Amino acid sequence: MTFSHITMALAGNPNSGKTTLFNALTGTRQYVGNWPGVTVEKKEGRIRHDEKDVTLVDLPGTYSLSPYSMEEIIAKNYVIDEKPDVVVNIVDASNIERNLFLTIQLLELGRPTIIALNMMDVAASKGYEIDTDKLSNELGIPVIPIVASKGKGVKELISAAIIKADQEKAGQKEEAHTSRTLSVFMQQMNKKLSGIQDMEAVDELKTDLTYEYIEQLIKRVLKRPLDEKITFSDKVDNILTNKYLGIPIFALIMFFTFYFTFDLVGNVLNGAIDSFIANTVSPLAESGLVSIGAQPWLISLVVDGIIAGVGGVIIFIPNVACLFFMISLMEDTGYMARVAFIMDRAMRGIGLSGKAFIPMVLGLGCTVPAIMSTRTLENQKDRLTTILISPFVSCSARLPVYTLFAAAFFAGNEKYVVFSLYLLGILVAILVGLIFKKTIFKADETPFIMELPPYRFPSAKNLALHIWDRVKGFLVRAGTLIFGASVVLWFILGFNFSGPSAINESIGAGIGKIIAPLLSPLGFGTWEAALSLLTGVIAKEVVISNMAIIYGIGESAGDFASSLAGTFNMLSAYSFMVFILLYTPCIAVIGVVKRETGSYKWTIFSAMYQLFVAWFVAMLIYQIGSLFFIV
Amino acid sequence: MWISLLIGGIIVIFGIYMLVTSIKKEVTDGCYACPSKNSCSRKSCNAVDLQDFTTKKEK
Repeated sequence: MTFSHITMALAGNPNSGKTTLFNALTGTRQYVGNWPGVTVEKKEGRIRHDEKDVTLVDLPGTYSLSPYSMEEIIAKNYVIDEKPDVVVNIVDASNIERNLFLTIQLLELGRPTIIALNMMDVAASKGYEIDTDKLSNELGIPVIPIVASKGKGVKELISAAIIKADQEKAGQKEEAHTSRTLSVFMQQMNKKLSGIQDMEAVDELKTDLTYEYIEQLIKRVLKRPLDEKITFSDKVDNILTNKYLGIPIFALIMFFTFYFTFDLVGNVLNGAIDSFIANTVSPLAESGLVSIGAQPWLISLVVDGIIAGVGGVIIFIPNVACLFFMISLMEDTGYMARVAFIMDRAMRGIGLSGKAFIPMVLGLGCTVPAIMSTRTLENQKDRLTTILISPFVSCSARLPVYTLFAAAFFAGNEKYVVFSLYLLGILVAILVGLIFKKTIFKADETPFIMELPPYRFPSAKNLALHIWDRVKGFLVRAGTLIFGASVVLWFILGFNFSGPSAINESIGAGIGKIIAPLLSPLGFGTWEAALSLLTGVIAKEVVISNMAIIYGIGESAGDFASSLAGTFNMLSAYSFMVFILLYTPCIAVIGVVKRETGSYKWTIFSAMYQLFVAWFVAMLIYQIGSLFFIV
Repeated sequence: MWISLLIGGIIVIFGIYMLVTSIKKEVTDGCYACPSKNSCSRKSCNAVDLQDFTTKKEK
């Protein structure tokens, strides 16, 4: 008897190729949906195979089913509560010993399971010979060798999974879903554990016994070459993750990133966009509006408001694209994983969880996914600490502000200035994290092992897609949020409650003047700076729109410095950039902090303490700097 | 005069609408501008796993 619909859960270790298989199975028709109500969600896809509707559930990657981290709990609860018709356990053939630990735990749950022995090509390149028939007999479940990245064995896998699910549904299942030898092992293990009361000791002994069993099993099914080769990745890692060289090399690479972002490519291209907007778009729009008899205020709205506000942000696209090219290059080659490893060692030295640095690395792009990625931290205190410190790592939205100010006040030295800001952000994050760890979030260290993926040559397609994603996102924001903000800013900067007014008498100036005195110790106690910072809470790019409308940077970037001369000098400009780096993040981040912490208290605390830290650090820089520089 | 008022009015109303709806989207879905948000592993699943940063509890 066969059934038309089956549910298939994909379970496996992180990096075992689970998502690659999910995508290979679902292909271009894939539907990826988030399930609400859980913190680490599962992905769901549907396929049709041999006239059967198959629902694939991609569970979070886990190394075990112990109830420590959220992804482990989610995966275990799904298999127990939802009872999928078949569990497909993806096992990395090149790392089979470690992967089989999860397999044994899955088999303990008693659901019908089959193994997808993935990355057979990698295992073969290492000289591994795996007897899949023997492994299948030893475990009592089907073992299908596959290479998910090339689609090899995927059809056979799905057919085997359907047969297994049909057997289960038709009640033709064997008494146990495991072999006799494995059942005997499980019984013996449970017998040994039954007398122990301490749960930690139970876990430890269970882990030891399971690994002993796996070790014996591996001896029977796997033939390794006599001497295992030192891979290219191992050789490179000896240098890049070296105890003494690791951090200096990372600093050099980051410095080159900014050299590339500004001097080498970015500034040449943004100069071209700048002049296109100033010399073509603005005059065209102006003459078009004049020809239809538009009033001067409408011309001002379009040219000084929308084109200056949106164009002021768009001209920095090349810098953002260059930064993402470098970040994507580091991610795709596998170097970013090494950065997390290097920083883990440094952070552990001062008592912080190394895992906390991973979201911070992601935060170089955008703080929103960085905060989401804290879901993987088992310890809730570590998680909250990481949520609170992640926004200090400079996101890409702040880059246009730095680019504008650095070009105006530190022409030719932009890369040094921006590099120092990124460095400062990381240092402040580590320092504040340390303070939290020693005070309100005292917690035991959680063990943490990093598994480094092999280095690989980045694919041009992947790089292009990453960069396009960012640029498109930037353009969408410019066309929606920045556009709307520019219109509103133009209005509040051109009107007061009696009608049209001079910019100094406008509603915007009035709002700025209320806040400005608080910023005087920081060196930029003007309404222009105050209003820009206030609007920057909507999105950091709005600071640029605001400045563009106030000072009219559409003219040329060079003129901007002279326009700003009355408001900023080199020291206060640097202090302003430091404030931008550290102060209250944008509303998208505030929203995600609320969602992830589920608490208004922590959301308000997060926004307010960052404001204080920014004020304090910028004040220190300005006041100490004033002692050495004439301002 | 009337054409300026008409165009200006449309722009201002559309601008305010864009600002309000974008802020709402920013707060509820911080990734609204990202073209890959629906398939984003960072958003929907285990970000660390899919970023090549694999982590493991010590056995």
